[in-house]
Amino acid sequence: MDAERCEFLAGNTLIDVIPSVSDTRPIHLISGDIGPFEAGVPCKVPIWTAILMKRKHNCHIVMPKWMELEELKKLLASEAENDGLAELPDHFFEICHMLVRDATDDIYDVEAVKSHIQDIYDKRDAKLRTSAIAFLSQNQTCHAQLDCVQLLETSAARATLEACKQMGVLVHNKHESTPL
Amino acid sequence: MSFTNIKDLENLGIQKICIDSSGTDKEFVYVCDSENKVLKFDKASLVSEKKPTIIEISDATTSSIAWHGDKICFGYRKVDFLVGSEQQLVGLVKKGNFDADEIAGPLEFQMEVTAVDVNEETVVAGSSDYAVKCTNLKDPDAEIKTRSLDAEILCVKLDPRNEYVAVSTVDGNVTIINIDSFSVDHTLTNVFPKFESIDVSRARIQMSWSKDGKWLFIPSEGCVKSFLRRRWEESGLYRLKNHENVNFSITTTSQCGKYLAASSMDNQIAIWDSEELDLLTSQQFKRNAPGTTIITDIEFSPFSTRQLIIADSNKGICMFTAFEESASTDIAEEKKHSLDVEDSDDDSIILNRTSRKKENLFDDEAMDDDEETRMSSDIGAIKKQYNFDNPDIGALEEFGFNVGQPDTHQMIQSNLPSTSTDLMQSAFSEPAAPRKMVIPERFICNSTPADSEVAQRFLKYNRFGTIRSYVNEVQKISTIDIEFHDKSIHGDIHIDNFEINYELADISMKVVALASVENRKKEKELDKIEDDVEDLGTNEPPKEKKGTSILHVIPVQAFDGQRWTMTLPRGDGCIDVLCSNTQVVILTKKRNIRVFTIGGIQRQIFTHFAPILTATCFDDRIAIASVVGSEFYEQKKTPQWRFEICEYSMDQKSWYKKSRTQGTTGAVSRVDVPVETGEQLDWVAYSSQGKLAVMDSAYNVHVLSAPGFWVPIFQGSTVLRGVSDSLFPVGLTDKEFRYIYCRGSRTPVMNGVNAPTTVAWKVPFCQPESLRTDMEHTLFIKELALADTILEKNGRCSTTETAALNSAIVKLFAWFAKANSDGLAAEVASLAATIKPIQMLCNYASKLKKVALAEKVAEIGRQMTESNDDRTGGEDEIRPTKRIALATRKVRKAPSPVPEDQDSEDGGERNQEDIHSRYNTSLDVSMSSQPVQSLERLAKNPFAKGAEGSSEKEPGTQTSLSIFDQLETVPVDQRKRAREVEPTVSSNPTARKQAKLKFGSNSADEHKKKFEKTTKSVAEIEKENEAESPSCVEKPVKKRPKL
Repeated sequence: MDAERCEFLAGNTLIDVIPSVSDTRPIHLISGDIGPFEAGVPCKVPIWTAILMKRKHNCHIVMPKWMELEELKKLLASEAENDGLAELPDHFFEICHMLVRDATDDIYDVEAVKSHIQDIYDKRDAKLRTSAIAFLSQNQTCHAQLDCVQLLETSAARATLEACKQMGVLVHNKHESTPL
Repeated sequence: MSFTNIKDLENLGIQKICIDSSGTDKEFVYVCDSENKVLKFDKASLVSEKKPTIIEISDATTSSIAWHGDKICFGYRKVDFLVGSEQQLVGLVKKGNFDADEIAGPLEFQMEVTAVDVNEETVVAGSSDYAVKCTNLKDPDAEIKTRSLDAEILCVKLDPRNEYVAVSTVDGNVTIINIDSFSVDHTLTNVFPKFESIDVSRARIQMSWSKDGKWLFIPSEGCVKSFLRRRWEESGLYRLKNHENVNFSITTTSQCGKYLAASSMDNQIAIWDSEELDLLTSQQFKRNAPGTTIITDIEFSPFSTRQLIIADSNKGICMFTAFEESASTDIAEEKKHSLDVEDSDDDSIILNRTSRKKENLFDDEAMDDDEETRMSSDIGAIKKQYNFDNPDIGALEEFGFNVGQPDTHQMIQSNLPSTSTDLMQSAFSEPAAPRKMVIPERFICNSTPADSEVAQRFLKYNRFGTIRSYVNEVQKISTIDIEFHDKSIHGDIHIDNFEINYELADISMKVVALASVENRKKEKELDKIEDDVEDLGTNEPPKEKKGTSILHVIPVQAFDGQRWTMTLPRGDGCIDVLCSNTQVVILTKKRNIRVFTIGGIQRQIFTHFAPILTATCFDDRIAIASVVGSEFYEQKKTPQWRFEICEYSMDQKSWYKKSRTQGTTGAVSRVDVPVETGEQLDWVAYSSQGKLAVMDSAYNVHVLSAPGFWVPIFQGSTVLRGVSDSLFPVGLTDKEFRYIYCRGSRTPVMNGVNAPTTVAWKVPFCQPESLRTDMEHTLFIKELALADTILEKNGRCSTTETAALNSAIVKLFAWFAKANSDGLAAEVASLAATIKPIQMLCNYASKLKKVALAEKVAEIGRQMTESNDDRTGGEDEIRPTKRIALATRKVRKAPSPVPEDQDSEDGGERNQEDIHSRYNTSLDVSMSSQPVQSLERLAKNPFAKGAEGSSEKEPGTQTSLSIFDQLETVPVDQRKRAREVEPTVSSNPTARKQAKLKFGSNSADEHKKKFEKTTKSVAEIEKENEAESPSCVEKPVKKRPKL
């Protein structure tokens, strides 16, 4: 699992688009039907479809509520306040990345949005690294629990997690071999 | 703090006070009006009976005057009637000599001089032609320096150090011009709210410099701003509590430089310490005189440093004593600074004259026994006592008198004994003067309200597309972007809007219309050009003046759709523009409605009868909302208005055929509009199907249904999450309402994507969480839909909607039936519009073994059939009465299938039989003894199809009973009883049902089968009935006792 696959999976998330064309016939996809489309009236489609339509100038993408600047500020504040990871919407980083890349003109104050998303990512990354180092530098326990990890973060931290697993084995072995 | 009596000036309008800025002359004050008068006041003429010196200037002054030392400059207009030329000049007089021959004209403009200022060596003036001109008075050969700005000049003010001149313009900017180079040194943008043109109702933005020229004071919205010299940065605000939203208009500084005085548009006068920014005093200037009173100028009095001279637009001038004698030590200091300290006693005598005299009056013994004296009946004496006999001092209306109206109260009082005075006062008390209540302001649906501060706004946002306006005044860019939601209709259109300045727009599927409103400045420019052309021309009759309101139409889906433009007549400019798929409509100032085709043909023009509140159009219909009558109140709440929509049907082909004399209203229909208590109309629109819809300011949306009543389909208060949030309606379809949720604003955001929210129509039924309510709601909506199709006479849709309605009825019936609410179920069954669902309901009830319900439904069906037949019969008016007797006889011998067959030979057509059965129920038995006529002859229906060859009809169809009589199900025991009573009935009910409904055949085999089945046992019959209960048919038991 890498970032690209995460993004692929995130592409199935539904998002609102405002079509620029009208089509009364629904489109039958494996994952379900989308449409019919009426120009100017929002409808839900998978993100990958939205991006395809956007590239053809057939729609405007409506940003998710949590991607508005005010909401991002709240998320950032929440991330700063919590010792652990704050809860984020599913596929937060993947969706943000896709939309910032392909629907720049539909995002108000896109630079500020990008900056806040980057800040959130950095904060979480720092927390993950710190906790991993803290875990790896001890030999007291072989279990740790970390909630609210995003799929992208999991895939990024795969090497670290492998190391943690090895560490767990070593600690376990140590405990086994240590005479009581 | 007190005001002296208000003295009358000569003319209404803007008055400009001028004192000697050099401080040399402290005896006189000049006041210049906008007609042709300059009044020269001295101290006595300002506060006492003495009249001022009136100086007449030919041909007109322009409320602009300035005085420094021996030089007085003023703006005026000079007309040479012989040549026909008109000059806009700045006049210069010396030593107060206003003789026409002595007036020099150092500066000349193309248009009216609006502001002038002068100092020792420089005179500067500004004009409506946007130009500022300056010249040196000391050098007779000095050149005239000119600088053109971007807007009309409001005020010019020379720097005390004679380095800069500050110029305020109506676009909200203040330009600092270097006097030497006469180049723009700095521009302060958006210092105050911009406006269209100079008018008495607008702020005059009279600036002032501090004494040392270090600060420039500029009146603004809610405050007076001070700007530091050279850096031109905002360095302080002079505020007044509770006046944050009021525009300040005038500023002036005292000659000592310590005080800054300002007046606002609501006539509040305030004085601050200019250095400390502390508010020293403030006072409201009030007049009881009729008409609009707005302070047009204030100046610190040259006679006393404690006083301000105030001139207003209502011909009034007075003095305001800002500080009392025992005020503060600052005043004493200020007095020291004063160049010429006045005798305070004299001032106090003069300025407090009114109050002192009044005190004396009240002490006067004559007032004690007022009723006994001549004064009780002599208004003249009273006036004299109050010093009102002087016509120049204190208009009577200042004290609450009604000038020019017969004082009936006074007359009555004088003729009656004094003892009855109180009684008469109560009986003939003056009625309260009617209050002026302004009706709700005109607005344009689906657009952002016009605001000069807003750089971007939606001229229109509807279900077809958006029209946005962008203005960047600094860069002189103004564009209009037209976008269709559906790009397949047309691509985006971008129009440069800087020249014409379109402010109104509408968009439809086939056309885009833009319109500009009338512009006074442009009119003036046009007049100027036309005048120049006429000067050159011959003695042709004068042409009609060209208007400045322009309509521009862009057809997008029309044959050979060329863009076209139309200029509206002057004085009848556009106030709203509408377009539909067939027409373009203009609403004008004179309430005219001008209708154009998409191609540009002028079709109709007619006048609306009431103030136009808002308007919308759909195809060939125009709906105009107006306020009807005056305001009214409910339980002393806020004023409310009754709104009305007038709908004009402008069918281009046949509008002239709709005569109002033919018992109709012609092409006009009117309907009242529902709004919530205390709310106002906020939106009017047509749905995509042409239904009229309105929304009030509480976001309640109503749709005008086909029967004519308003149906609430959306309650915005249920979706609003914040107090400052609002809903911006976009459009309406036949089942949905679309709006944009605006967070923290009244209008959609201009940046970013606005996603309309779509909600289905939701009629506010009680207990919305209940499934039953849901079905009731569906039933109501379906009925509305059916009503619309009936109104439109759309047969195909009507069938569909009827089917949908039946479906809703069946569902609700089933729900009630399952819930053991037989009464409600029967009520639902009675709502069926056609007979078809009744049969289904009856079957369903039988299936659920609800005998009573099934009977009731069958009865409803019978009644419905009868009423339908009545209606049909009434229309046809063919109902031979004697057939009733025959029909009765026929019923009585119904039991055997054989006679039925015989009867069928009489032309047993279905409709005919129904008519028979209808009269069976109400038939008097005695009628059967009437002489029998020829059955064949009377039974024939001349309108029946194939009556001749229908002799082989099956027996079941020949019965006189309706289908519901046969469908009626009875329990087994009753059936048994029926059979016991009537063993001769040979027809098996089940078999008959099968023959009639299931197979519907006339074949002999089926007859045989039917007869065979009569021999079956009761148990078998029951079994069959069990199996086929939904369509089980049986002869109605109720009919048997009759036999």
